Amino acid sequence: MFRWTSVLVGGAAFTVGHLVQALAWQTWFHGTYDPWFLNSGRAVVFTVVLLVVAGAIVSAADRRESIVRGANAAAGALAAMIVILAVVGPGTLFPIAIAFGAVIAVTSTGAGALAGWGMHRTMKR
Amino acid sequence: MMAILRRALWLALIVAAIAAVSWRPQVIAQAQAPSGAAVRTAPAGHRVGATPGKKGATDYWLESQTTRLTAKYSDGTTAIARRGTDGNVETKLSDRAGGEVARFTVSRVAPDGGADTVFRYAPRSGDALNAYGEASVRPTLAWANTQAYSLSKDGGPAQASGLEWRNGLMRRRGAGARDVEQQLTELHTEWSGGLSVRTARGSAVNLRWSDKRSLNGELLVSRLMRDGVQIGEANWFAKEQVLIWNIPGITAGSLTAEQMKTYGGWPFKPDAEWLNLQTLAFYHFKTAMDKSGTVAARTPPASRSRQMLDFLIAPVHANEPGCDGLHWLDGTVLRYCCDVHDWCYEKYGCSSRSWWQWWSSWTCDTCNLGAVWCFSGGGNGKGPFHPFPF
Repeated sequence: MFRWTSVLVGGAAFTVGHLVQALAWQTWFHGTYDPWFLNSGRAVVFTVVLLVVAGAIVSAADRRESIVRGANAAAGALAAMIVILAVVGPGTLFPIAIAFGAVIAVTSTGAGALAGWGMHRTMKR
Repeated sequence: MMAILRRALWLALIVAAIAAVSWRPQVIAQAQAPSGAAVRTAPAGHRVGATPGKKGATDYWLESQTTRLTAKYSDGTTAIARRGTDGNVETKLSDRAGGEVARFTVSRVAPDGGADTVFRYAPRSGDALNAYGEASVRPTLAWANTQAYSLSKDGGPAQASGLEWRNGLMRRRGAGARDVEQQLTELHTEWSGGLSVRTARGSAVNLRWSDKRSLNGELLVSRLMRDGVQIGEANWFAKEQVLIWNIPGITAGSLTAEQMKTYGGWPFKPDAEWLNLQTLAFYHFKTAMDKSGTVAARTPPASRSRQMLDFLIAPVHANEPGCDGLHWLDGTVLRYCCDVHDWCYEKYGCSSRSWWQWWSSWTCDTCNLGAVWCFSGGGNGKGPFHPFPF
């Protein structure tokens, strides 16, 4: 059930995304508060794009396991999200922030997994 | 000769300067508390806020922003009160045909009204009345309209000696009891910033409420307008003692006598004037809160190591206005949920740890559950199953 590579790819995608946001928080992302993807609309879009790509990459490897690998990537991204939120500083609404983050991670990697599945199918033909 | 005059002028200026310097401390001393007077302290836990049911500073501030107040009465009389730039108030009383019946002016000498206020009632025919205010009466636009209407219905003032103060109004001696509020059919408050509220009297017959409760009887319907366009409404059901308001995108809710049981039910009798100001207050304070985002005080960000330590050991207090960790949502309808949650945390001294140390404070748990409920209902404060009452 666990696909550790997919978990790592999902986690790495989120972590890299966070590092980029931290470096260009005020210039690219117009952030006002601490760097955290849910604190800026641009950062949300950026993270969504990264997770879609991560989902597509992991699912493209094996068409039959697209959804499982996508779910593992989402789990990895969610785990990285919780750790980073703990380091950044959990706000007074942190469980709700995690819930929002989980929805975004699952939706994005799910969309990516579907895209990867589609790509895999196209390439096979 | 010129030299003598010049010297005299300088002398006069110096004398004037010395007099001014010595006079100023006396003025300041008069305004200050006498030296040696004990400072009155307020003991912890002692209520120092406004008394429920009595008009406080907020109410008077809201009222002071009213530029014009139009009252229509059941006999066709219309009273229009205006506030001048100097704070004085003038009411023009007209009959059903629009003809002017009388004018009533309130000239303020002291900032809060009281005994230093001077009233003038000038009927279309007959002698005018000039009178001093009463210490317990703080004249507002609504009061001026009520007073002018009441004097008119009493048949004019006749002579000042024939008047008496009765329930905060100047009445003709021997005049019968009158409930002016019940004779009011419509009250239109024009406020600052293009806002206005019009309240009309009506009646409800078996009006279904969301919790399947039926509402009946006397009803005050208040419509909030901005630049001539309706943006919300509030209804007061007098028999059921229920207030329901809805300003889409801003706030919606209801308040019943049961919810006010701490104060023994509604601590005052809501009327049209109060409903207008309360509706304006709903809009004004909520939008101001959304714009400024100040409910919880912001503290400087801590270092990463400190944040980690705080997460593990010390409680993290509500420290950012808006949605902590979700500032992407600050400009959305969900902001309301965050502000209420911040306010709740500030009030009860909660921290982010109260989410997982749920046994430490039931009040903090209530704050958190309220936030979850509000978020799940899309920020309308009614929960996820609205409009279903469960």
